[in-house]
Amino acid sequence: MTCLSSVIGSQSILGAIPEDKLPLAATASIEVDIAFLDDPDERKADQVDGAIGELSPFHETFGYYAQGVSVSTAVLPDGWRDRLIVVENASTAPGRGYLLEPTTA
Amino acid sequence: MATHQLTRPPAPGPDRRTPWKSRTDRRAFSRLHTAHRKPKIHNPPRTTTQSRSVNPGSDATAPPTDNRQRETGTGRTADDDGRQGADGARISRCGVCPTDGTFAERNWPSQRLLPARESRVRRADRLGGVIRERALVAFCGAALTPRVLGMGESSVAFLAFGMHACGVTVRDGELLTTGEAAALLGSSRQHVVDMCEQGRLPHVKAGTHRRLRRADVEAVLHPELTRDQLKSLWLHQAVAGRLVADPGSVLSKARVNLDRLRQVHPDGMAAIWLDRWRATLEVGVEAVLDALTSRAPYAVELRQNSPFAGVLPETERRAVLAAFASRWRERHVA
Repeated sequence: MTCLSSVIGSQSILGAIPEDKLPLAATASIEVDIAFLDDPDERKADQVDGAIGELSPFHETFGYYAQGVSVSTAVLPDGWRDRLIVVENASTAPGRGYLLEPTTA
Repeated sequence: MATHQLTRPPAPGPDRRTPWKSRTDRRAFSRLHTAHRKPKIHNPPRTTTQSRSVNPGSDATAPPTDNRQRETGTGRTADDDGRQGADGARISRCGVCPTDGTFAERNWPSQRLLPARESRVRRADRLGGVIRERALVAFCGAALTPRVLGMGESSVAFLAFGMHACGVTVRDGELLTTGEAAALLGSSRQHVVDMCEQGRLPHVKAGTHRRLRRADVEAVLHPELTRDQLKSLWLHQAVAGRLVADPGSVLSKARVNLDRLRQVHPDGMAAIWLDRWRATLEVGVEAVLDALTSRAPYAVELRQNSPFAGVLPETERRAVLAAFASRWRERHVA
């Protein structure tokens, strides 16, 4: 089964602009919003919260966490899915990451 | 040291701009904000979040003092960091302010403080809808100056804290008149009446007069929490349960977490929110409980940067998440 998910919210800007080019206020966040593109009942979002979500052992260990959200959480313009930025490297293998394009976010 | 003095606003006069749309609005606003001047026969018990009480019989010229060890005129021992304002009002530290009152006392003499802040307080009142005690809000607003917050001058920032600050004085069971509700909403009394008539605002009738619960009026101001915000609230309510059962170990755990989180997030907004958590922890258990369980925007933001990871056993955390998901689907997936 393929699970397509995307980083949405303020931290999605990291997909388009290198961290060292951004002001500190734009890079430092404790939580990252993760939205699944095919998650109508938000069960996948709940799984994210369960595994690496708020107050989880992951949160306690690393000092940040993921929050599973619905794509309906963000008010996004038409065509936002077509403009997603894809991040694919050794860290994302075997998957790939999607982040909102900055002007969309 | 400058004398901290709480002044009353000047009475409306011909040379003073009156922002109220009608005499009814003005009277309603005045009733909301001057109740503390009148000695009350019935003195309702302080709620856990109420942080200011009034002592009308005290010396009006007395400078602020540390009255931790003495009795106030109300017969209540001031044992919660309470202080004596110049007009006799006894002021406790605001629950979640990142500083204590000494900053305001030292840097914001009252003559500068209240007049300058009054319009913002009124705006905060309109947006937050829960400010009742002007002096406390002004006090908190002064303590939360941009210099303290480390951010630029911004009425939005003030309003955010103003809403928080006023949140400490809410009593849910209180009934408001339509004029008072209009003052909180920043609308006309007729608009409130219209909302009542349309069923958008719950109310009761006392004879021919409508009365509204403060919580219902505030619900108009504050939209419902999003799913993820509500989920976070559930988790932190579970943390609150642990906190009241064992405050020492929970607060200790939070402090340890904060130290580690500040190393991971040395700057940026996360660092600012973490510092606000630290200040909240220093205030005490009740301030932390307020932050853990409040629906106010300030608390929602604060919880997103929570230092309470590890307080809930993983089985309990999972159980809370499962219960939340089940409850949410019951209500939203029909």
